[in-house]
Amino acid sequence: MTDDVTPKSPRERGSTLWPSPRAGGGRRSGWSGPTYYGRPQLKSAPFNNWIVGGYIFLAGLSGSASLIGTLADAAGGDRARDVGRRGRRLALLAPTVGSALLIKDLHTPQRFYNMLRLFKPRSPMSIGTWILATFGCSAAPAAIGDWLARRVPGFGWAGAAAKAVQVPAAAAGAGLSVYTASLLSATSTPAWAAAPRALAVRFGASSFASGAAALALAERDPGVRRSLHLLAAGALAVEGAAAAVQTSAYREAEVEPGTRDPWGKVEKVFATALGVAAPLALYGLALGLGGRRGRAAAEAAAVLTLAGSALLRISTLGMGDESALRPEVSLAFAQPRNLRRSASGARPTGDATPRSKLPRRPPPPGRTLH
Amino acid sequence: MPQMTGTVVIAQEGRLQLMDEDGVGHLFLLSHKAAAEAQQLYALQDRQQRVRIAYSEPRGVIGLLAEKIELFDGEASA
Amino acid sequence: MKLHPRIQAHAASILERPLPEEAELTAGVRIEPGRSYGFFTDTTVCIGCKACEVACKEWNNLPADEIGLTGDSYDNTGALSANTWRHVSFVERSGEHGVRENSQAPFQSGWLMMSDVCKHCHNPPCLEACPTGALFKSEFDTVVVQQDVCNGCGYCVPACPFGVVDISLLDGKAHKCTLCYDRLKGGLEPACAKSCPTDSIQFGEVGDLVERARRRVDDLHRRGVEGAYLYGAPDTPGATGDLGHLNAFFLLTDRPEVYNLPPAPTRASNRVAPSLRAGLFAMAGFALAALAVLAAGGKSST
Repeated sequence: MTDDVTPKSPRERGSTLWPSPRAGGGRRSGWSGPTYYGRPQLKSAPFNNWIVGGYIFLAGLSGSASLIGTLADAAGGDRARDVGRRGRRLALLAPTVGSALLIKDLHTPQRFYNMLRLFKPRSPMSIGTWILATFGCSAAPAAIGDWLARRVPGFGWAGAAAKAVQVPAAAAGAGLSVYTASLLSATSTPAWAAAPRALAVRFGASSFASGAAALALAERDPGVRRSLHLLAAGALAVEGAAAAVQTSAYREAEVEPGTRDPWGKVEKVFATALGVAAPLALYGLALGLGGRRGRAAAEAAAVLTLAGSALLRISTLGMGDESALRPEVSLAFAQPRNLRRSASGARPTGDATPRSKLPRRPPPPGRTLH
Repeated sequence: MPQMTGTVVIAQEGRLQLMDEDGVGHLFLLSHKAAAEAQQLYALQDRQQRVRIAYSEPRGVIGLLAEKIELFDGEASA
Repeated sequence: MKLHPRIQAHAASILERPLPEEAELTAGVRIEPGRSYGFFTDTTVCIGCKACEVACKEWNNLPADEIGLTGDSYDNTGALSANTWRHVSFVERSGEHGVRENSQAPFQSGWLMMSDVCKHCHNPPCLEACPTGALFKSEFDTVVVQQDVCNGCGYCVPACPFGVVDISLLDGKAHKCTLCYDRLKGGLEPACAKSCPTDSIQFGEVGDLVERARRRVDDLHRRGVEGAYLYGAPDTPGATGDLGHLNAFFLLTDRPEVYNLPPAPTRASNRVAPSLRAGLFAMAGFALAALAVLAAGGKSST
């Protein structure tokens, strides 16, 4: 069936309540054709954006801090010793505060353990549950071992054990930093689904930047601090590039109107301008100034990075909800021309969809279908 | 919290139909805060059990929200 | 319609128990586990009586969503929700200057009516999103939410490309049409299909329904309804983006958007792999950069 399904009889031209859309291309933004009384065509996610946004921020922060801490232990030498220790401590945030936030957001919280009934590779929420569980089960012993080694005599071996068990935590931490973007993309919400790769890179970069920034703020050694600030700045630059790719993807999919207001504005002002551009400018300033003022500028940049990372998640959730509730956006996304680009698995030959196998002859009784 | 006494006539998933002492049917949804589980409601229907339900009145639906369900065998006072 | 021979045996006017294999008598279908069942909704014969909405509410003991009069033609339900599993849409069509034309093409050209329901997709995005396994494919090839497993995470809600499944904030779990799973197990056809007076909603095995629907579309084209097409049958709008086909499919006479349906929905979980790959690739890049920077910092003096 082609894109044009309007009935061909002349009577139908102009005989609906709404004007017919212009046929063919042109970068129109949004769907300008008929909608059903302007009612939403999709349902928005029932998450509390502050709670879930807060969790995503903490997950990214903890995961990346654990990752950077492990790498510092491996390559940073003696001067970077404290980075590993702080990374292990920051890693505790996600399994404790983060899990509490997630359980609070469930609508039947007393059944939270049902998340662990199975592992479903096609569900990022299932993947994330297990990433969080793995992370918690490795980050907690790492932090405890660290503490034991320093405070309790006779537990010197616990320090080395902590460093070893921190490695799976670091790997899971990398997963924690990005899986939430996949979680948002694997829905039908236009603002989340229209740019899955860009969103993943953006969330990963934001997580990494916030991890580096948090570690840098607490770091006393100036050389290591400079390295951490440098990593944060680099990640912010990548995040800015990903944001640009994301915006252009939205324009191409014609869901750009769903990213305008009001959460879209919050995202542009607080997450992108104040959360990426301003810290980058401040880091540049710090590089130029040097000394005490340079350090102050870098610390301000780190604080803005953290705030921007949190606001990015919250505003992305809000933007998604808005795009889902606006039929001119969701209908523009669910058009045949977007099939090629939305990784739907459809072969890019016009609108041909894979022929699904309908059961033609009934199977013999006693055998199930799948 | 207001209470209602009656017989469980129909149970379907987490919802039940209660016929009160005057023979009027009322639709109840089982609140997520209630201790009872949806699976337990089917047994109430099988036995056409008399129960006393403590409920609240939610906005937006024409029905009542059951917060607490107790088995009731005695006589209901007026 | 010829009467099924078994009807002779059940001529009593008061029945004490359900008839065995009642669907054979009412829908001409013998319901057996292991086969694929669904709905064919022919909107050209829908009269907008809402018997399907009422039957669904009655059988499933669902409360009414109290939204009052909407002013949207005769649609006072609005949309599918946690408490509304069948929803009849009404679209009144006027001609030039808002005046309805005197002579119209046959079969509902002036007033569109469609009974919307869960599509029971072949590759259902809601089921693929569900992290607890509450959503499952039954032995009748339908998608059902297990109420004793669902913990109300709400991830199925944005996953559905048709906006069907919803969380009830009152009982804290997700709800949608079950295709009357309990009735199917008892050999009865779903309540909405049984109550539909014009047989607009037809219940049966999906393969048979698609053949019947294709013949109906050809018939309509011959009779002057050139805009009639199937939505959700294999290789038609609605059955796109790797969703496979929809077990509950429709015969429509105008663009899908008019009925609040997406013309090209996609299987959301196909985006998981590309997204994770891109994200983890980025993290690997950051990790390498961190190794390099920290190692260099570790070697140099202040």
